[in-house]
Amino acid sequence: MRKLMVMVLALVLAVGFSFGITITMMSPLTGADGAYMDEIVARFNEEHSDIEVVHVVVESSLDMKNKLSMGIASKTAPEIMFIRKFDMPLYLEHFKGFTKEEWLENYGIDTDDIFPGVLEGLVVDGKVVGIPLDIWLFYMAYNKANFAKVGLDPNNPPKTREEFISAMEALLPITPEGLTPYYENPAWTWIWFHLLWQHGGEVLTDDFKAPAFEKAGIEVCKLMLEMQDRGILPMQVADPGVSFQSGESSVLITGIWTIKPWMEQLGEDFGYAVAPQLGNTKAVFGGSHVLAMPAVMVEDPKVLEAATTFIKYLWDHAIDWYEAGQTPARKSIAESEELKERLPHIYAVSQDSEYVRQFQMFPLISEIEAEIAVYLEEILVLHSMSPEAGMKEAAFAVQEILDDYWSRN
Amino acid sequence: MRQSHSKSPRSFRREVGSWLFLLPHLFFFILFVAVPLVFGLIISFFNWSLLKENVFIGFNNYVRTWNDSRFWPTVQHTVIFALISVPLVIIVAILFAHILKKKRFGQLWLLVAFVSPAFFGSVGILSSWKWIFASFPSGLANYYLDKVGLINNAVSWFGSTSVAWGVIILVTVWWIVGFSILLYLGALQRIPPEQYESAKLDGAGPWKRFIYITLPWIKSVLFFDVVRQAILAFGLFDQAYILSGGGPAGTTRTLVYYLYLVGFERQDFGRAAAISWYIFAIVLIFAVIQLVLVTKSIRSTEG
Amino acid sequence: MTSTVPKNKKKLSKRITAVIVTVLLWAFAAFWFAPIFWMLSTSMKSTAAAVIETPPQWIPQNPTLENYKIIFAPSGGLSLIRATLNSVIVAVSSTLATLVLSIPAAYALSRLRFRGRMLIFWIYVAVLAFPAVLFLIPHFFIINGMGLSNSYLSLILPGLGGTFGVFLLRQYMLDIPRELEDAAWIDGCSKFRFLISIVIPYIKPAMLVLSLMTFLGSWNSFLWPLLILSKADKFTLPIALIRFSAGWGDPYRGIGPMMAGAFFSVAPSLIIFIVFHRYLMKGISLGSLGKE
Repeated sequence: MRKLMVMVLALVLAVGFSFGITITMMSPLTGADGAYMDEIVARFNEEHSDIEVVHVVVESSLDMKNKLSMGIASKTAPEIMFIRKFDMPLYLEHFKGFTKEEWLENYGIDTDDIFPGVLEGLVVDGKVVGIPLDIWLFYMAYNKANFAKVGLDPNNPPKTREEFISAMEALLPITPEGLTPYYENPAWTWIWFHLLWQHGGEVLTDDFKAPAFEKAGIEVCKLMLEMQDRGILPMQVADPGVSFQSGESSVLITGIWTIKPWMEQLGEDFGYAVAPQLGNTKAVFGGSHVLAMPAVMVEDPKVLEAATTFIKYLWDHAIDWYEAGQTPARKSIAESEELKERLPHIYAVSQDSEYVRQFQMFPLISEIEAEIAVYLEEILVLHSMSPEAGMKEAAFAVQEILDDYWSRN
Repeated sequence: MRQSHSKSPRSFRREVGSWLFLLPHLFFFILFVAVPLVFGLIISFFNWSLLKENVFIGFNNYVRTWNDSRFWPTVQHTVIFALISVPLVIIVAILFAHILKKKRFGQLWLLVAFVSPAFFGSVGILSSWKWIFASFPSGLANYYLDKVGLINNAVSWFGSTSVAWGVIILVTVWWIVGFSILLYLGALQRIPPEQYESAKLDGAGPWKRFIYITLPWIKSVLFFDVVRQAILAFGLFDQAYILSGGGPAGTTRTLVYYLYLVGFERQDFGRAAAISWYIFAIVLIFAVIQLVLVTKSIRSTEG
Repeated sequence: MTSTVPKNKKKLSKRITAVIVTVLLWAFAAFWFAPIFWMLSTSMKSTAAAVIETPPQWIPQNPTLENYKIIFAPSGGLSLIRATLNSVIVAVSSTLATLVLSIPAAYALSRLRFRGRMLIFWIYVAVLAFPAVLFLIPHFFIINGMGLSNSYLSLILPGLGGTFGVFLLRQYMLDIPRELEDAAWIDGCSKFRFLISIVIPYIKPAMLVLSLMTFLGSWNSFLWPLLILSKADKFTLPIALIRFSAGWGDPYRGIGPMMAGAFFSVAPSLIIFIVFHRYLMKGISLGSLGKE
């Protein structure tokens, strides 16, 4: 008991006596991702004796937003946010921004090196308010052994719609009953958005005043229904990862963050490639984590300096972070030899980066996503609405939300 | 019952003395409950977020919620859920309390099994259950049901509205019945066994014994439990959010789910406050109706 | 009711029935408790193994404590042990404070007479209908205004206004027979003495239940500590465990450590429960005073 008290006391003292500046970084990274970031943070703290970064994890966007809003209002927010890009729109005016020149000259961060599609939406009044560190691109994971079993070339995965469908159909014989070759949750909206962009659609009009997805959305739903009819995609709500890891299902089009655990799980049988293009427009779904500083927390120049030092550190050591399973936000890294050598799988997938599409920076985008999901489920899970009817209703519902927003903003 | 308004110093002192017992708690109540409620009421009339200018908009938040096509279905879902789950939990709890009352071999472990889930935090519990009700054939539920021959194909447990609600109700009952069991256990233990003996001798069956002997003794606790269960039922969120994601097609969305979706996701706290007052009103109406029914039925059995 | 069956046989069949019933109950209880067994079992498998095993293994083939090691490794300035300690301090304090405040208040509302008594009682009950989440924001500003943010008090104080405990204890107190009170009055017992020496022993099971509920409410409390605490040294257990919770995408990625964290979080409450269950089972015997 006494030992425990001494230990606790030592801990308290240790924390209390850390000299220099303490910076808090809040991120949504759990599990292995979080562990990676912890290691990077630990290395930074070692190399910088006068700065201490504390890594706090809050996974849920909702909880994070509550905390950030109240933090900004009461000046108790973290100094650095490692924030999902689609959570940012509400807070854009509250982040500290610098012009491109300032970022480059004062902090050595070249914002021109960032893929334009990823930097888009982060410029407010000519100032860049956040530095994207990564892109979570969609890629295709497939089971090489299963491919070989049915006579498909394991090193030549499908790239077009026709190739994809015929490959999936070829895999049907070896897929156990109750599963499908492409065992993904048809109700997962991100797949639908990925396909929406591949069919030339967009969620909202550029001025965010009306929905713009109806026409292309119908095409996407028809494609998914076709896949369901052919037994390629499940007819019902599905929990995906497990059957892929056990080798029972063969293909998933999903986020790059899965690449590392699956590579470890499936070993030689694991195949990865850029996502196939199933539509008429070259596009691939991506999200990003962005490094941003709430302006009220970095008013003190010393704090600002400490925070930007850490941001610069991450910028320079980004490849350490990508190892966790992300693709680079910087063109130079995406095309670099170093990436090719160290993380060949990341390198391969990131070749698609210039076609990345991300959620529009509209504050209510998550709510809109949730409403579209309702109608997607009517169409693809309950099969109670046709694509035309479902998309029309979805457009109505989204318009309702938009009207609500614009009536008070 | 009312005291006469005699200004005699004795009764005045007595009354002050009584207030003194209440005062410490009342202080915290006013500071941390009453004030926030008033605060909530006030901001519900504003376009209130922490990030920009707050604008007075009158009843706009309330009107928008009333007119929102997503709101009323969630009311319906939540009410139906409450109507089913509240009696179910109470019946199961009373049943289990009766079982646990008797001294039995290994009574402790029975107690642990039925009561302890109530102690577990939502995340661990719900992840376990989600795992059990996974949609692929090797998910626990699918696997065993298939083995026993009750189903032929893997069931997508959250792919149809009624099945999804069935799972949510099952998990909810399993999870929260624990505390109610303890409450009834504490109440049942006070009933003198002689009353049961004499009733048995008179030839009263178990149901009659329950109505005429047990029920009057647990009246007060039952009242409490009904209110508590009603409130819990209307606060249903975690199961809907984690297990079914409000689906399929939004058919397992509850009132609090809606509150999170429209109030907190938007960081529009004025709207959140207005929705909360709607929830408050609905819960109040529901709880009152339930209470009236329960007290009526108890009164009628008392003859 | 005439019996030609010898008495011994009757006794035997009664005994057998009792045993069968007990065994059936045990089986049912095991079935009921299965998800928790599953949680424990999964926490002792590596995630990779847990995810792909068919048929399901209740007893892990290669049991490992790896997951527990993972959750205890200090990460990013946090320590699970530290967080647990914080949780213990806050939960115990909250429980004690709640009892100290609620018992007199319940007594006042159940057995004392004063103007406005029923009004206050019904208000106390009515406010329970309000969704708890909305108290978060005003509490934030009140606590901040008091300069208490990021302290143990910030986690303890807001809950003390809760009326749930008062309501529960009041209901139990209502059932105290009038005769007891009258007898005490005649003996010249003060209200306070009556509370301490008669009422409290009478409502022991309710107090125990309330203590458990308050302790667990505080122990599992997540949203409020997350909001009000900005320094990692005061983080409580649920916050520290977010690291191991599921992310979107593939929720089964980290199921091993997640179950380990969940089980660790539960263990203390389970232990307390097992230790105190005797008091629950003892009950109160006040002779045969009959009901009110």
